[in-house]
Formats: sequence, structure tokens, C-alpha cells
Amino acid sequence: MTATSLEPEMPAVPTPDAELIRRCLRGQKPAFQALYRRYQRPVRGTLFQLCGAEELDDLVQEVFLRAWKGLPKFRQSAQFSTWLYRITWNVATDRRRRQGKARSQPTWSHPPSLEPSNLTQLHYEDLVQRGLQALSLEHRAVLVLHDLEDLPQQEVASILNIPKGTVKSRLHHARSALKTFLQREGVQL
Amino acid sequence: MTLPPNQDDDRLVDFLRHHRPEPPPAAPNLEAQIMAAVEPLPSTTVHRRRWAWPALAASLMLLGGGWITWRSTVPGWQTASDVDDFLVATWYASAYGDEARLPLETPQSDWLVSVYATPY
Repeated sequence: MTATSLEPEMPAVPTPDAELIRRCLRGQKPAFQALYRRYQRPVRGTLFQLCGAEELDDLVQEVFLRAWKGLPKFRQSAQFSTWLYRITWNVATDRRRRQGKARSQPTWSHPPSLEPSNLTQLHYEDLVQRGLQALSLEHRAVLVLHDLEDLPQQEVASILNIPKGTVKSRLHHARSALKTFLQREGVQL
Repeated sequence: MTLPPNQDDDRLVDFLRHHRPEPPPAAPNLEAQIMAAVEPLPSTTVHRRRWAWPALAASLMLLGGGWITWRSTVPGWQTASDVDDFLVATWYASAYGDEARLPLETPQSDWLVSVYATPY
């Protein structure tokens, strides 16, 4: 996750995360608002891939409220984005636990405004959705964080609190399963 | 021709990124809702620092007090004869109990006889 230009009130050089966190700890809500605007998009995207569209707003809210409450315990030496992704993962697994299912079955929905312009694109998006849905939450998380969010394996290991070797093996398994699924559906990679 | 696995993976990743499903947009009031739900933090670093000095002082006092107490319980040996007395006294006490303690002021020959006469 990197600072984006989606912060109209922010100066040209974005304020570093550490400074915003210090301001948050002094009780300045606008600093937290800036952090929210900086990170809500990747958090939302990750939660969507992990949990689906259902209750997505509630889950995003839960992540940021947990982050706000946890800020006094946040170690300044750690990377804020890694910490926030970890909270995101915790929220996703808590939701699965609440649902009481061994394998979460997210539901995705396309809002009318985001419909692809052609049928092929729509078809491929549907395939990716179904392919991701077929994976276990643990395998999906590794694939989403590494391949879609473009995080290095070491960071994925930190977020999920697993060894780097486990990340590699899960990534291999997830990619193989997805490849098999897509090829079975007639996609030539 | 079969591609090497890494190129195969790259193609898959490209495909996934290109066709990843996008999340629906957030509710218009979500940001305001989150900011409204944010409450003042219970403890900040400033507060933590305020408590740090008294806590450090109390810890030092406890450490100092503990050290003084411990020192007072340790026997203060001044000379080698003090050490001798202490060793003899504790050795007899541990082997025979207080009733078998021998008088230390007896001459050496008596002392040896007494030792051999003591039942094991």
C-alpha cells in the first residue's frame, strides 16, 4: 500500500504515516481521516476478495475502528500498512468464525456502475471470482496479498503470522488450483 | 511447447490482475460514520510518559530496599576464624542436630575424641 493522490486536503508531499500516527495519538481525528483515505481502498479490496460484497462496509468500518483503538499499542518501528493488513486478516477470519463455516463462501455482486463494457471481460471476472471462491480462505489470502496486492512474500508472512516457507507452499498450491480451474473453463494462459 | 513454471505463473498473475473483480463502492456516509464512531483514545504516549517516571522511581526504591534487606540477612564475616566457626556450627547442626553440638573451646585432643564418640 502506498500513499495515493486521493487526499485533496493533503500537501503535495504526503505526510508520512508515522507523523499521522503521532497526531492520532494526540487525539487529532483529521490525521486518522487522512490514514483512512490513504488505506481504505486496499483494505476494502482485500476484504472484498476474502469475504465478498456482503457486509463489506461493516467490515471496513471494523478494521479502521480496531486500528484506531489499537494505535496506542502500535510499535512505531513496524510498518503501518503491514499492521493494518494484519487487522484486515483478523477481521476476515473473525467473520468466518462467526459464520461457523470451515470454508467461507463469499458472495460477490457487481454494482451497475462497475459492469464491464463487454461480455468477455464480464465472463473472465466471473471466472476469477469463482476460482478464488473455490480456494480455502488461507490459500486465497496468500494469493490475494501476494499476487493481487503485490506484497512481498516476507510481508505476507508477517501479516498472516506464518513462516515464509508456508507462504511459498500455499502460493504454489493456490496458483496450481486456479490454473487448473481456469484451464478447465477453457481459458488458455 | 510448455513454458517454464515461472512464466506460467506470470501469465496467471497478469490474468488475475486484469480480471480481478472490483469491490462495490462504499456507502457515501461510510467515512463520516467511521469518524463519528472514533472515540478519544484511552491512553496516549504522553500519558504513558507521565506514568513512566513515578514507575521507574518506585522500581528503584523497591530494588534498593530489597538489596538492603538481603544484605542484613547475610552473615557478616570479618575474619577467617568467623568463617571457621560458622562452618563448624552449621556442619554439626546439619549432621546431628543442636543437641549433638560440641563445645568449640575444648582442647584439640578432646575435640577429636568427641567427634569419634558421636553416633552416626
